[in-house]
Amino acid sequence: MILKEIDVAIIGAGAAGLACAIKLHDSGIQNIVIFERNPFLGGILRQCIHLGFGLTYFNEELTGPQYADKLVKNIKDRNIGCRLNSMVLDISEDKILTVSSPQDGIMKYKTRTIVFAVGCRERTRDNIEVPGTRPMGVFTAGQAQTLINLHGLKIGQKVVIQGSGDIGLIMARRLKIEGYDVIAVLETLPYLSGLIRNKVQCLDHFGIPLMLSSRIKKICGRKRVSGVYVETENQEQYYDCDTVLFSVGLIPELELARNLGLNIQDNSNIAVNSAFEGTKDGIFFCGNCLHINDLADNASLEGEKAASFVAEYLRHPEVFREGLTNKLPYCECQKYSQYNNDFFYQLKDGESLVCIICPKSCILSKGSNPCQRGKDYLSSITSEGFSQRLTTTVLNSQEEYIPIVTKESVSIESFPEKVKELKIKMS
Amino acid sequence: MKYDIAVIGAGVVGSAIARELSKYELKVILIDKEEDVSEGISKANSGVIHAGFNVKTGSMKSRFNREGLALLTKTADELGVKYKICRKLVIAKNDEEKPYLLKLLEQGRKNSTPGLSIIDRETIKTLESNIEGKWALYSEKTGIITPFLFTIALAENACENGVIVKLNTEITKITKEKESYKLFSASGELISESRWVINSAGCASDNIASLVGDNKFKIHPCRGEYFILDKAHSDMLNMAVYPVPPADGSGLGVHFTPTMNGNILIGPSAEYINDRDDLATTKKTMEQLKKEAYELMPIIKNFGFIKSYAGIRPKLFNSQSNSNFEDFHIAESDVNPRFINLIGIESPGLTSSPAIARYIVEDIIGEKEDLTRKKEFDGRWKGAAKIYDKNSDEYLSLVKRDSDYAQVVCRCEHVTKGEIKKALNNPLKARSLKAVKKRTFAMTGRCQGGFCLSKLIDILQKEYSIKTDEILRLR
Ligand SMILES: Cc1cc2nc3c(=O)[nH]c(=O)nc-3n(C[C@H](O)[C@H](O)[C@H](O)COP(=O)(O)OP(=O)(O)OC[C@H]3O[C@@H](n4cnc5c(N)ncnc54)[C@H](O)[C@@H]3O)c2cc1C
Ligand SMILES: Cc1cc2nc3c(=O)[nH]c(=O)nc-3n(C[C@H](O)[C@H](O)[C@H](O)COP(=O)(O)OP(=O)(O)OC[C@H]3O[C@@H](n4cnc5c(N)ncnc54)[C@H](O)[C@@H]3O)c2cc1C
Repeated sequence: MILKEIDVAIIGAGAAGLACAIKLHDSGIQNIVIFERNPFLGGILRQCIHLGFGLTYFNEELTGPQYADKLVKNIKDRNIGCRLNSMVLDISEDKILTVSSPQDGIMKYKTRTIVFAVGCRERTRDNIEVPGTRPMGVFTAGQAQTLINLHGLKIGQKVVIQGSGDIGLIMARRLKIEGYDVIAVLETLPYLSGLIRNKVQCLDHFGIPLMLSSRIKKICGRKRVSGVYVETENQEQYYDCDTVLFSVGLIPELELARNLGLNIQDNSNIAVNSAFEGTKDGIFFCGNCLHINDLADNASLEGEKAASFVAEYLRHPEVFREGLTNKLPYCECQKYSQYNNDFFYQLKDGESLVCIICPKSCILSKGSNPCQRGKDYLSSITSEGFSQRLTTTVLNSQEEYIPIVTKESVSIESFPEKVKELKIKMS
Repeated sequence: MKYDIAVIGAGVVGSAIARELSKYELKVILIDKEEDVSEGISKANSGVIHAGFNVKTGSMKSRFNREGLALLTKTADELGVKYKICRKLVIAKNDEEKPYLLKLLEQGRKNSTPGLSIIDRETIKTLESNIEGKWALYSEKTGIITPFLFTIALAENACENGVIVKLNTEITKITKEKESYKLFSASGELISESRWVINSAGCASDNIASLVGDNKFKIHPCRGEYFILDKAHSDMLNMAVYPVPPADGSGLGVHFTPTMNGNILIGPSAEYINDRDDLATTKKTMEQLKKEAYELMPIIKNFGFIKSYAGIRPKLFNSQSNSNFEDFHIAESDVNPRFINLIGIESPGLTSSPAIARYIVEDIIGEKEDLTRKKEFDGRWKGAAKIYDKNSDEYLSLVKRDSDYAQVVCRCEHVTKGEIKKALNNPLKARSLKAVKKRTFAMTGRCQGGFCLSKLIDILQKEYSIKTDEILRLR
């Protein structure tokens, strides 16, 4: 068996892993390999065809794939080694990686340091113990996103979504654009859990109801979903549907780390010191496997930070440990704001509007003094109602689904027409 | 269309019978309404190879359990299906429950159950450190097997030995001819004409019997719900652990069972329901299961569940009945000659299945027909959907020949594309997500298909030309 020796093994080519590799390369550490089990670079970004990425990291608003492409260009320019279709199966005590790929079979790599940038997985219906039958048609939101955006599949017709996190909201709009009937987005909590901007942009503009304090009580259907019972503050109601999406949270992917015997708290938080290093020497974490990032930009920034620690570790192993503090587990998470119900009522009376240009979600009213982008946004609504840049996928001549985004905003009313037009034009 | 024998229902019982029949020079058809075999009771149960002390002495249940214990392991060895004699404890929480254990021990002795003893708290702790209990009945011969894989192996091996397996075919009409029976599907199509019919339709076996005017059976569906624990906790338990069961005869009580795949099952509950197809889990029962589980194994409180499911017991009595025990009904119909009914095959039906099959073929059919052994019968399951030990030399050399075996599709259970394709090439031509799931365990891990669903759809679509609508059941 071939044994290749490297300085850094980066596992996962998402927003975090790629940024980490670029930074390492630029700081002179070049014997690195990125391992990615998918046939493409970019991780979760590839399926996030919507806008809302890159405002901090690249200073412009990008779709997920555009964001990924920018990182990938930097990787290619630097000729950084990437192994695609390569799943890291096992890591031994002395940092030998076992990697499985159709092109190389089973390979072993010996590395001095490891960066985990393996992302997260979604919590499932069973994790939150939703009763009922187990028919086809129950998906996690990210699973649906993959099926629709990367594989161009039609997964159903009438959809109920549980969970008002950003992924749930974004999927509600995405389904609507693709012609699905989105019955409602349900949220167990009495307040929205995603960004206000996303609620406005994804639900309000498309007339999709948000039901707070509501949960699916029972899933019905034998072979395919036939409906759900929804409980809202002790009232129960049946909704006819053939598809249910669960967007109920993300969990860091820590299986490999667990097998390595690293310290994991509450089954889901990796314990690291202030250099993002786990409880074994030379094993680092960044991105969504360290903690769940709402923004890809932050995952990338974390990747860069990890890179600087790895460089330090490799260059000055003897002084690296000085001054490190233990933060077990790492908990510098982004703050979650909580909003109460009243806020939405304010929205409806038309006096004030949420600015949907950036995640800050500023409230705009007559008296407020928004930034230039906010002003542009305000003027765009007064002239033509609600409008957004449209993102969707089209099938190209090679039978691939290509994500596209319009250059200009398009009024929401004309979305269905525009989608049709684009799909015909591009294929 | 003409057969010697038609078997209705491809659960573990029907499949075992079909395989037993395939040892003889007979034309046999095995029919099931579902897209694959083992979609009924045989899919959703505890998967325990019972040692035989739980059943009433002198009953058919006790006879077939005793014979089945030896025969099931022998059959599994022949086929190449893994099982494990993992042992079992029945726990008495206090002294008051101890007499029950003594009763079981006595019953076990009468049933010739091997390897039974009563042990105390200290011994319990040395065997299962996480289990709370004062006394236990310790059974050394209890085992586990993956019930659906065993059923698939039986059916596929029957098929390899010449049995016609017809899936997606619900029998809704049976006509009695002079010397034969004609079976018709829901669409009115004549499926088979055969001298013998074997009714092994599980929860629907009473209905099948009444299709030919035999109306004396009534099945009372009794639902059992389960939780499956994340594999991360598999080292918490070595053997099956049961409480002292409820007195109403509904079941064996909520127990812990390790599975061959390294998970732990919690369940089943017991609840009589009206609709025998209602496999829904309920909040109420989930909470009850958790409560009972915590009592036996307090440490379980903070564990993650990856899945819940339910199975239906085909009972011949219910809470309103006078009795709290009914035996298996296994006999040739007294109104319809050569029509064999298997009704009320609840636990220990899985354990008993090979013994029941032998009884049907040798003692009932063999009594009336001259049966000739087939020389070319091969009991090895050649089409086995094999999941390789990824560290074995066999696997490593396979990878060199076929790159599909180095392409990981399901990350949680570590299933490769090569293994998936092997499973999809099954002789039954069962080609669906469920068929893959049961044969390879893909999608059954902690992410429940979050990662691999799209990849599996891709394989079904591209390599087997199955339409997405069909895969996702949109039609
Ligand atoms: C559905 C969804 C929607 C989102 N929408 C937005 C948004 O609108 N705006 C925004 O700014 N942010 C959004 N985010 C957040 C942002 O995209 C992520 O936080 C960020 O991209 C995560 O990057 P990452 O590198 O940590 O993980 P990932 O992108 O998940 O990358 C991890 C990579 O590791 C690979 N991998 C894992 N295990 C192995 C292994 N054993 N061997 C080899 N490879 C492996 C995976 O295949 C994957 O490519 C969204 C996130 C999700 C999940
Ligand atoms: C909760 C539970 C736990 C159990 N635990 C154990 C255990 O630990 N150990 C043990 O030994 N036993 C156990 N059992 C019992 C065991 O599972 C059953 O005895 C056994 O699986 C019954 O198999 P079967 O083939 O009779 O029924 P099934 O597997 O239900 O097969 C019947 C088949 O008939 C088909 N069918 C029905 N109607 C028609 C029709 N009209 N046309 C065509 N096909 C039709 C169905 O699709 C089905 O596939 C348990 C049972 C339950 C419910």
